[in-house]
Amino acid sequence: MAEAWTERGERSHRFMFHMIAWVAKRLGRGAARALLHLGVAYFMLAAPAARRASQDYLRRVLDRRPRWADTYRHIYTFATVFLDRMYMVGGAESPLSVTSHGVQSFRDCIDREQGALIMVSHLGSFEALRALSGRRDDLTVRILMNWATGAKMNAVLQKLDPSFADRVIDTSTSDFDRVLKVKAALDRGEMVGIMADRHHAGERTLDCDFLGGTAPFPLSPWLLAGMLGVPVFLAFGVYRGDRHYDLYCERFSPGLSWPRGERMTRAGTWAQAYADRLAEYARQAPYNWFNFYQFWHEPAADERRAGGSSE
Amino acid sequence: MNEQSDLERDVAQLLVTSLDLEDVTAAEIEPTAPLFGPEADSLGLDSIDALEIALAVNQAYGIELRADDEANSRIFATLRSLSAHIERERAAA
Repeated sequence: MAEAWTERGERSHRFMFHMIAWVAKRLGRGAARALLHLGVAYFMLAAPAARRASQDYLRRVLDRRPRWADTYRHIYTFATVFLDRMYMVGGAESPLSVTSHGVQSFRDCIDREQGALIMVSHLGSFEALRALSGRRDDLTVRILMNWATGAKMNAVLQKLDPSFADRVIDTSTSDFDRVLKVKAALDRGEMVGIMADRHHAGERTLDCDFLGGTAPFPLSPWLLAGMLGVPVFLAFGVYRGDRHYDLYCERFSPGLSWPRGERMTRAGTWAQAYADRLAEYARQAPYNWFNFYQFWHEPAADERRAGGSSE
Repeated sequence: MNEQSDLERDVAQLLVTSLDLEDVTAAEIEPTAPLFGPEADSLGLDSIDALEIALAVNQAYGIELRADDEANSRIFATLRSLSAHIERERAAA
């Protein structure tokens, strides 16, 4: 569902995307951010499903009825973070500043060359993790993602950083390859980032409490962690406005393990614990969470009373 | 149903044990039916199961299933293909 949306969005906004990428490169981030307002205004009008999803989320996280300005700010934040991916990946001449918090928690793993899983999310920018590896040659972070859904953007990023594709474990290849590649990377002592707040079609999920509603969270990140027994970290790259990002890292578990028969319930407990941490960060930085599709099973209570739509 | 060879019977048992399969016994796994995917005769396993199988096969037979192996989808296709791969690797070792 999420992927279908991304694909649709990607097709219809191709022109906008190329224009912004061109401006970002030629005229700089300031000009590109100004231009983003055009894109966001267009998006507000042309993508009602995404707008409704934004409103549903904001209603929960702000605990009040969102105004147009809130939705605008939400989508503008998304657009900025999307744009900044280019600068994060581009590296050297990045105009951005990333302040890292809790990075010491990684140090043990790096020093022992022990592989670890990092649960990342659609909150802010997971690319902020590059602030870590950029400074250390011995730290490799690979991200599990579907190469095909972001093909346009990936092509641009690949030009900026020739090693970009190498840092991605493509989930659009076969199931076996994906999980075996994760294992191989961990065995080499690398870090592997997994999006833990969006599931793909056919994936096992658990309905978790999240921001006052019930929403399906993927179980496979936790099943994988339990099977591999490696340490698990959380990372959130929160956009704070202007040029600034805060990267928060937490050790979540020194290594999950459980009796085989209990794996589904135990994985579920971790999925819920994760949903709680994610909710905490979302409340701190409400405009930073970017899942623009119907994430919850039911719309927020206020929306329901209003007949499911406030348009 | 195709008859299981001795090795296929062992591997089927390994699948049932390592994956905790509840609605199928080792003897009931059709050697030529797909292990993964939505087909009606498929065992319906997913990517997490794939890793579990890879780890179990590694433990039981000392065979490493590698990520870059182009043949993985063929190897993991059915009980028969997986068993044949194990047989080959054991012979080569």
